[in-house]
Amino acid sequence: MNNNKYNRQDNQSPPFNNQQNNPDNQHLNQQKISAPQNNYNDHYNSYYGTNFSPNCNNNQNSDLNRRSKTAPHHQNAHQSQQGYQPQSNGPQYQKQPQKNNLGGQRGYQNNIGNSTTISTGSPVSYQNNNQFPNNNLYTEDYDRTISEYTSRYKDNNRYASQQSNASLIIIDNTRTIRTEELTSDEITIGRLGDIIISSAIVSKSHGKFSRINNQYYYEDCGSLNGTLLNGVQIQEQPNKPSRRYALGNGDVLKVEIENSINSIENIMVIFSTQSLSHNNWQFINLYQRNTPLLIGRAVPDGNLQLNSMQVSKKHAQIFSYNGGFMLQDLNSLNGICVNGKRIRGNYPLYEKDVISIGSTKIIFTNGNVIFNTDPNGVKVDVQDISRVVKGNKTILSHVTLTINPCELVAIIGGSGAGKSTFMNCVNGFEPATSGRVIMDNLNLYSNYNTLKSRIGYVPQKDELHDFLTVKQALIFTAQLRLNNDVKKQELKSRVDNVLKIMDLSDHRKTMIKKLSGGQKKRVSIAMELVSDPDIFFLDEPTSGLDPETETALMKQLKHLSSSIGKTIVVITHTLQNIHLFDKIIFLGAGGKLCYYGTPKEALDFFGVEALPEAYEKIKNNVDYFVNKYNNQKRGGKSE
Amino acid sequence: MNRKAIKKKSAAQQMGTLIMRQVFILRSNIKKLLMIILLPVVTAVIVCGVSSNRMFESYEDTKSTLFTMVCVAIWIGLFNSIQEICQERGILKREYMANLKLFSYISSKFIVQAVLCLLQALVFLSICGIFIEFPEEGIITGNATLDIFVTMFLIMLASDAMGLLISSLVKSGDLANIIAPVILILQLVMSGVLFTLEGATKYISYVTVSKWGMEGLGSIAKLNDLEMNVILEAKDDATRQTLESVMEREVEDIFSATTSHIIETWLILIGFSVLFLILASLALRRISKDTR
Repeated sequence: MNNNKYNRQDNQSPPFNNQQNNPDNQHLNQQKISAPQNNYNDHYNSYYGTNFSPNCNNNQNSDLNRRSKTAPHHQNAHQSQQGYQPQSNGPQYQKQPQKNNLGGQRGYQNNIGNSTTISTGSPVSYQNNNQFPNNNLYTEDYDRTISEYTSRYKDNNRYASQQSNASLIIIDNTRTIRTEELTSDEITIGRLGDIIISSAIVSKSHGKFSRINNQYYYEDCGSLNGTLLNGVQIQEQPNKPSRRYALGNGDVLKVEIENSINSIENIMVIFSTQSLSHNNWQFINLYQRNTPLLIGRAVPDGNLQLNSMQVSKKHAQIFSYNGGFMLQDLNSLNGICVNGKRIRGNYPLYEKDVISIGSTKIIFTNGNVIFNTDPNGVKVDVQDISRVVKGNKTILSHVTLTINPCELVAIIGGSGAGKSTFMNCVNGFEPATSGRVIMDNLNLYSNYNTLKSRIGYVPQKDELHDFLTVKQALIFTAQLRLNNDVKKQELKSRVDNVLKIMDLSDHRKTMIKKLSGGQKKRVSIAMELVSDPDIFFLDEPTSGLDPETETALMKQLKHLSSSIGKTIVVITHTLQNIHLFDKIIFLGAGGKLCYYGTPKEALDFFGVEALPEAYEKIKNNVDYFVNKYNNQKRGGKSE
Repeated sequence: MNRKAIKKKSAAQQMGTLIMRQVFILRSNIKKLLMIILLPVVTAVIVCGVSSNRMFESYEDTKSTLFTMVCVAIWIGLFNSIQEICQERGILKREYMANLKLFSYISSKFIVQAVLCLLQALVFLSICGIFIEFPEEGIITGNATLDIFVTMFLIMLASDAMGLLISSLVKSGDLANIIAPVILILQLVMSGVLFTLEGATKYISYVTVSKWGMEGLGSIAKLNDLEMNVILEAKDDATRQTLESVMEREVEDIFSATTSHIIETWLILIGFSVLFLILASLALRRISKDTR
């Protein structure tokens, strides 16, 4: 029953319980931190060599979190006092416990029920006691999460259509966490920027955020130390302005000097497409815990629950160690990456480390973890990829583009234009011979084993066992691909969910052999969907289907991207449903990128009435369109 | 649980899942199931039809019949498995990319195939038992029929594993169908029954299932003790004695009816199965390089 002891402790100080600006609570916090068994604080200070004062500034900052362009620059000098301390909350954070951490809420009540029998727990007891109290409960929870998922996504889309402002979460040299809203179309950051960051290594005007067609971009304004976007330096030459980079939810910007991973001057900015009022970023203060923080798909309440099949039940934990904090991989199936590198076993956390588990980013700063558990899709940065094959033949030529999370993207072009080559380079099956592909903040080619479980691929030919029923096939696939720790009940409900999403519930008992072409294709997609990948690649899914079935399938893909939150890339030959796609990638002969953008703008770009005419035009003028597209991109009209 | 234990557990789990999947597929695939059962029935009837009534008496007749039985066992094993992997290569590739362990995959195939071979060997010999009278005394188990059953089963198993190897080497079922008869002919020729093998061919024969299968069955049937047809057909004792002295047959080492020799052939057949399985799982690693 050590479990109960553990839970009860969480119960007393669940991470979000302390977020009211309430003097009693703070008193409690302070007590906890100064309590002899919890002197992380002193250790921590010596570990990082800073003066950490957890509860200073508590009363000053609630109004100051929303500084915007109108804020006067002289606030710079007082920067350290305007910071936002985790123990006290700006209004935007107060909403979150109710809104987001549903798992926590439910389990919280559950814990109260359990906490009547308490025995003394040793610190190691957590290892064995994280079984979920009730399987059925868990299943319900998963179902709920899916519908939650769906509805939340619809919400997000609604906000998008209203052109809501994106926001930034800034961790600067004062080690405070504050948030800023991007209130206008162009905002600079820096020591003297619209948004002020006071660190000594930040230039006066360091970088610029801009919004074009509701897409946010970031560029470095030629700063001294440059900017790292998701761990990659974006300045091509030192002190020179960089090109414009499209931003996706959860992108991380960092400014740091070489060999100074722990310097307090380093700053970090997290970009969030959610506006301040709908921000789902949360944090957990590790100092306030007596027990390690568990991260996983099914962890006791008060811990960090990630609802993805990519995540093991108990995936990782963070525990205090020698005054600092240690991240431990609990033998998870899909592993953990920190700052874009796979870690094994124990890893001591450094300031502003970015931990990736599945599609969730968890940022460690100052004894806090910051995270956003919303379904994310995945963002793909294709950076100057080419593929040269035998005989020095270039079949893909310098393609650079960014696919944003949850977009439905079509790859089109004449035969031999390198559509399949491009797709295989982007999904890692046949790496490009030069250039790179960044998925989230990981280099796809060097982290393929970590990322492969997040990539779904549906080949042109349906590769299915004819002599299984739809449901049998899905269950076997689920058993093979999912974590070993997935219980039977959970697995079944996952399969049922997938059947529902793909509209196959009526055919669950039909032999695959007897299905029609469109149904078989849906089963193929469902097979991939079972393991809950973030990005899907489909190779000509509609070939051999009648127009009606084709439209239905494309609509289903649209639903999958916009409502379920998957990024989807499709090679297609048929253009009758091209309006459903968010973007199209038009490739010309030799794998040259002629156009990347919305299908609507494509008509203007090619100067045609309907897209099929563009094929003809491109045939003889590939280079003309390549140049036109590149010029347009440089001019900043769209990327 | 440490990482190793988890890996072991997941390999076993995968194997279990894969076995169950094959059972489900087989259960619904009536045609294939019928083929698997009918093949030994039909071949047994044919073998019994052509074999003489001097089985286990005449040297030549017994040898021919045993050879036919070896061929049947090789063909059944090969036929069982040769389409098994190449047919689902696309599916396998996808699953391999998603953490499937090739060894689990091959082992699961082999376990199911072993059960099928056991069943087929049983059916085959039961039908043969109706027409042919088997000697009573066995060398290993005390029952000659049981000895023959084990040998037949092991031949089928080895050739089944060979089928799995071929199936994991080729990318299409058509190619596998072309290769199958070539392999079968090679096995017939190299068995040492049709031709006396010398030089290079002799060494090649050491790696054929048919040679060792024939050795096993021949030893169990005590071929060395059997008389030749001419002697059996002799009209009187005097002629027989004359014939015996004239046609003195050399004792063939390969058919020496000792326990150790039969055990040796059995172990070699098992060794073949294991070797083919290992080679097959190595060959399948190339699957990740398949173009899409």
